[in-house]
Amino acid sequence: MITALGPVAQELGANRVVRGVKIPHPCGDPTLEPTGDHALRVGLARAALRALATKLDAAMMFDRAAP
Amino acid sequence: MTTKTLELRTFDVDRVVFGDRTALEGRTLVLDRDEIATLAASDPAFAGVDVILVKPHESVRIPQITDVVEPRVKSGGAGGIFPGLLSPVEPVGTGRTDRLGGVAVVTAGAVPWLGAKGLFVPHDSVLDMAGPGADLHPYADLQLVVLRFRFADGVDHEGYERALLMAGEKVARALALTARDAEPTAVDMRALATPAVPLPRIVYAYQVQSQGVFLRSRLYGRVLDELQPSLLHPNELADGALTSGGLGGHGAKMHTWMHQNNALVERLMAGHGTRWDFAGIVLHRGHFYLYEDKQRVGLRIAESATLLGAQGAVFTLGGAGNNVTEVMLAIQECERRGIKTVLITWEHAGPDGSDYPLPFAVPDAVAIVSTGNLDEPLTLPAMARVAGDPAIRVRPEIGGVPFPIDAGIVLERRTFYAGAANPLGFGRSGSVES
Repeated sequence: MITALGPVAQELGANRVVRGVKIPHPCGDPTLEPTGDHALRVGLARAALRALATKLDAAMMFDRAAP
Repeated sequence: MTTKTLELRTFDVDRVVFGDRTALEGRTLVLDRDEIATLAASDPAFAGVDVILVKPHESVRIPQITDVVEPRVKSGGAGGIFPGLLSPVEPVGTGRTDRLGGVAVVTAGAVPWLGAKGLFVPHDSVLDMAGPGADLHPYADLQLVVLRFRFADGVDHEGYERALLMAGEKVARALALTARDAEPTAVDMRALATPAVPLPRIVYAYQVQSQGVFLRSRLYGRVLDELQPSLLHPNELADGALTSGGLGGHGAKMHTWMHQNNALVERLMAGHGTRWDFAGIVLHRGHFYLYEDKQRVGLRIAESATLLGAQGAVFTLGGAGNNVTEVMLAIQECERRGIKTVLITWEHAGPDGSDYPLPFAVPDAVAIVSTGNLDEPLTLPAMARVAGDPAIRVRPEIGGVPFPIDAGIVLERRTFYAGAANPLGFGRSGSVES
């Protein structure tokens, strides 16, 4: 799950949580230029794919900035 | 240091009528209709206004309310009523204040949407003065002076918002001025004197909603969209330092009347010195967009309560939705510091009341009082008249469609009924444990 309220998602039982941007726009940032927003979105998508490919023993939070 | 003391004089009004001269004659408030209309509609944002009188429990449906204001004015001491808006930014909450009891000014009208869509539009709502809907808000026992505005073109939402707010306050102040030479029905001396014996110190963590021009609160005239937890004396509320605003008529909205007459503050004041030691109010805002912002608010509330020497804290919500998170994080931090907490809250429990009631909770929140289910549909009979247009606008996500209100109506959620989801549980509805 991509969300700006990670601890809330974890409380409700989400195992793989990616830190989103803000509550009104979790998957992008309207204050950025199109190229910066695109890079941000790619980072979020990569973080989500990394989360899906990670074998978990317990719930985990993934950061979009990580490699 | 002297204790901040306010003499609050009440002048009860039993009847409101139109007449030749605006005056208080005994318990009858006489209004010069043209004078009130001229005062109300003086802002260029307005094309005109209808002044409509509504009696307590009369079979009337009032649509598109933006605010409800109790007539008050300062008649002694420093500062003026509604500081930062009608009066300079000066200390208030001392000296003498006059209020008309049993009467309220209502601002209303179909605020132009100007192409706005989705969550952030001037949402329409209704309010009934009779039938089952009359139990869901605190206004059914009051004489209402409804100012139903028509709007000029070429004005933006900020212009409409400020004009509506100021109009309600100006008329409220003008009505209260009629009591200047009258004999008060009651006089209340309000102060937070140090109790003679040690009593539990209690703070009130008072959350407000402020998210732009459609959902807005003001403190001394200042918009609270970026408010960090801030201390407030209850007498500042009595003098209108905290006001409503915003163009939405949303059900969870706190009208200015509710800030002026906050029932929890009234009870905390009434029991001060005998049952507890009311330490004051921590005013704060929810709906921050980052989790870290919510954590900061929770931390600052707990820090303020600690500095005030509180042993207990009572929380209410401002609006509905993710603002619960700030409050829950504050409860968690308070409880970890040994400050006991109580939360008064609505429930988002689904149409039949069986869903998980809060979007977020912490295990430390062990004392919670429910004010009812926001999601329960509301079936309302036809009223004898509508104080406004026969239809309101719903479904802003598709640009708005008309919803007739001049017959019986079913509201799928209570959030579109003005006052029905008020965070304090104002009203006479209740529940029976089964």
